Amino acid sequence: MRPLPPERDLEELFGDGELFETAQMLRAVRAPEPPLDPAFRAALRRRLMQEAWTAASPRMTFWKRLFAPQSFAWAGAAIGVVLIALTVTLSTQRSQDQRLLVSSPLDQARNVAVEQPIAVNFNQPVDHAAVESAISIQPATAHSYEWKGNTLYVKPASGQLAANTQYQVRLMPQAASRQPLPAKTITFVTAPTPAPKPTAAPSNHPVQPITAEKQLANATGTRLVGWSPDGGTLYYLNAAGQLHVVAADGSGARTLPVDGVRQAAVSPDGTQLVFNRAATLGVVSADGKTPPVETPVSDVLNVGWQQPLNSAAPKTLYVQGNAVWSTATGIAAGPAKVASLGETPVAAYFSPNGDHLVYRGAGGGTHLVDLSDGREAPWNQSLAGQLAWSSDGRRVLFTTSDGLYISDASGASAIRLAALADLSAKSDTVELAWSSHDQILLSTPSGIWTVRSDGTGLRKLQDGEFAQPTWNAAGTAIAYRRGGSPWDALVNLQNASPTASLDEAYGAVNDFMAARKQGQTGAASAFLDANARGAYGGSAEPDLVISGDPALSRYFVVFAQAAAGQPATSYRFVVRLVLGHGLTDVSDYDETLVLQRNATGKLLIHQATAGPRQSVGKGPRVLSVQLERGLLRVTFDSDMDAASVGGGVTVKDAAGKSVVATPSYANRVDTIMLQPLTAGSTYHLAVGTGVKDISGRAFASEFDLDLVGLAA
Amino acid sequence: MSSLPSRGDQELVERAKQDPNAFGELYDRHFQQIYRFVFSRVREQSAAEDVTSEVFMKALKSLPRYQDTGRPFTAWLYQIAVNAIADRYRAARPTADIDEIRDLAAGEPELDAQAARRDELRRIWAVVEALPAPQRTAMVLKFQEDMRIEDIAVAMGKSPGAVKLLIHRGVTRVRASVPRVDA
Repeated sequence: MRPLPPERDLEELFGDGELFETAQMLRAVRAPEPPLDPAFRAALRRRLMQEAWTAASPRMTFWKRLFAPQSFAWAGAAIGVVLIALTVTLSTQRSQDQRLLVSSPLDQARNVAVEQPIAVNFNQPVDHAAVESAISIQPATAHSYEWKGNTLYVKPASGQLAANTQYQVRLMPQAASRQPLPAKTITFVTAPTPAPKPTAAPSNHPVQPITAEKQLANATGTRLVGWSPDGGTLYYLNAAGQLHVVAADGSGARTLPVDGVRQAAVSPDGTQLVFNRAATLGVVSADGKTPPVETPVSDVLNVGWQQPLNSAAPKTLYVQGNAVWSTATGIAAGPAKVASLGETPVAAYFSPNGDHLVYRGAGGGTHLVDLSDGREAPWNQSLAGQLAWSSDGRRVLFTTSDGLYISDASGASAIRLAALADLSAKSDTVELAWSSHDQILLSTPSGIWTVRSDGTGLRKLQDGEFAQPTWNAAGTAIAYRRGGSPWDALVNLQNASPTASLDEAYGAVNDFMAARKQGQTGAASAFLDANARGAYGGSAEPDLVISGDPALSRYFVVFAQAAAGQPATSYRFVVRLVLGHGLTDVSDYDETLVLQRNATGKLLIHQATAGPRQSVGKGPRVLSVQLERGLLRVTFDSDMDAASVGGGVTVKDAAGKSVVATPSYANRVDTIMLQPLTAGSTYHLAVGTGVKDISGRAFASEFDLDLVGLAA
Repeated sequence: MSSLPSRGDQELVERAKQDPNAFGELYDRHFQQIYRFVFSRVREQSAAEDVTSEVFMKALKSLPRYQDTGRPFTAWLYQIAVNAIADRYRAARPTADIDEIRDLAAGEPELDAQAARRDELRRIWAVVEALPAPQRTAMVLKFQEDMRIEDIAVAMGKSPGAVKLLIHRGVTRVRASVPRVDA
């Protein structure tokens, strides 16, 4: 405890009883010094001194000039008194009625789309010039202003904000301003896309991603139900609701003894299917040898299965009215209500093991229901199209009115994978398929697309109809509807493009980082080999799980490269870990991860090294680096002084000799044409401390990165 | 903590009315305690920076009208800060966990008693955080900033009697919520 000198106030107030004791205890508590940015303290002092000197400079006041002649003095004074009285009365009235408030829809937001201006709202008319002169933006961003009513739109000159960046828009009050402005800082973080395009040696033999397309049956109005767990059998409904079975190679077509089926789902063990018809809910054996068992239930929206954790027999699930119900496999035993729903659902999505449900209500709300205890919570996103669960039930893929997103089950931490405009589709025309190996397929009216779960690698795989794409459990084939009939095809995304060999490494890095962010030491350790476990096991950084304050708030890949050669044997990633206090990012550091395959072919992190921590907002930073043949792109978070970039970004070979390069800077990107690099040789990229942003702030420290020359 | 250099302040304030450098000196003297007080109320760095900027800008602008009433200059600064915080957060309350920002100035207590004492003190301040805003502000100015009741009264624009009442009620509430306190 700190020493407590006598306190006369408290002795008078409380005497020496129990309240005095409490008061003494309160005095003994000491708050630590709050976090303070010395740059803020210095900047405020500079601004105050500037204002003070401006105010102190001799000048004749308005009223003195107006009433300078002696003969007008008394009249002027009288008018002045009246004016002052009026002004005071009006301004008092006004200030009582309405204080000037500043707000922004972006304040404290994360995953903010980069293609938008920064809106700053005022609750009453303001002096535009005063506001514009009081605004500053970090990182440095060339911008223009546009006013619409009392809203100011700060428009980045490049047309976009930088991705993966915390912006702070400050409105600083100015004492000399005609209109007093409140101080306000608007802080937000932009969406993490686009991540750098992976750098890899190109293959001379690109493999088609979708092969062996086969029409499995000639049908109309097909609706796919799903694959058997072994991927050998596909179940589908035809237009009449007859439940059909066909092998993946098109053989063994047969019909199960039910028709008029509206919904159906294959049990986790593949031995049964739950289905509903107009007025019944039923279960039928997958081999069709046992007659279906049905019970009267009407108006079912969706059916599914719940696999208990204790390996007991799975239960059927169904959504009816404003509730979710469950029945034991002996379906006639009677249902049990699992959860009451706050809204009447119009679309419902069970998680793979049936422990959660996301549904969209008739009122437009989207909700997450924990089916283990029946609790419902508002979902954090506004669902406008389909939703697909990851195979582990921890993440969801979904469409909103503007794009395709991935998030945790609660809808939080959403990352936009693609804009609907990128897919040339509307929200209700995108169908989703997410494999057990984290492969994503998007079916649109124009064809089938893929994108990685970190938002990179969006590309169309093939034109044509691939409606209702449905992965098999192994993630090697899909079923889909074309021309009303069921089809299937083999899918190989791993070798589908020159850069696809990085997909798996990207997935491993993302899963590794996600586990760290969630504080899951065990899950994160599963991605490490013995060498990397040693790297994370020391007392110095890197830490596997970052505990305390500031905490790991987000991360993104700055650079990724596969070793030259096909197939690549190792991968190098530079990942930036951003640490935040509350909703504000305060510092970050880069980790370099090297991934290698172990004896069983699994990609594991073999090396991990951490760079120094840097404060956020203390000068420009490199956001990403991409290397393609003959071309290096360095993307900054700030608008840069082009001249300083031209001289300050260098590429040297292992001997320290500069590589002949032709740089070109525009819109935060330095594009450098390089002389051909030697495949497999190491080069060094450096962005020196002489490189400055447009406000004259230099790199706080040099940015360094090793690159490997690509095969021609 | 806040030993208030009031005597030197008054001379400096008079100089600052003519000499910007003197205002700079006042800023250097009092920035930390004003920032600390503001942060303790708003709990968020950028908000604390905004409010602190506003406090000193208003102080600069109002300095020519400042008159020495015998109270410390800091009481006037706190008064501006209290008003700025009230303006900004009239409808909102800080929500951060008390454990995030508050710690104990640990001396050398016995180890086995330390954890219990720490928990108890945290509970005490958690109760303070739940008090109505005027009580909370009076408690912080009294117990964190070590201000005299008369100066708190100036800062809060209330009478000393009203401040005493706020503090008495606050401490009584703390006592009632955390009944056993071994000093």
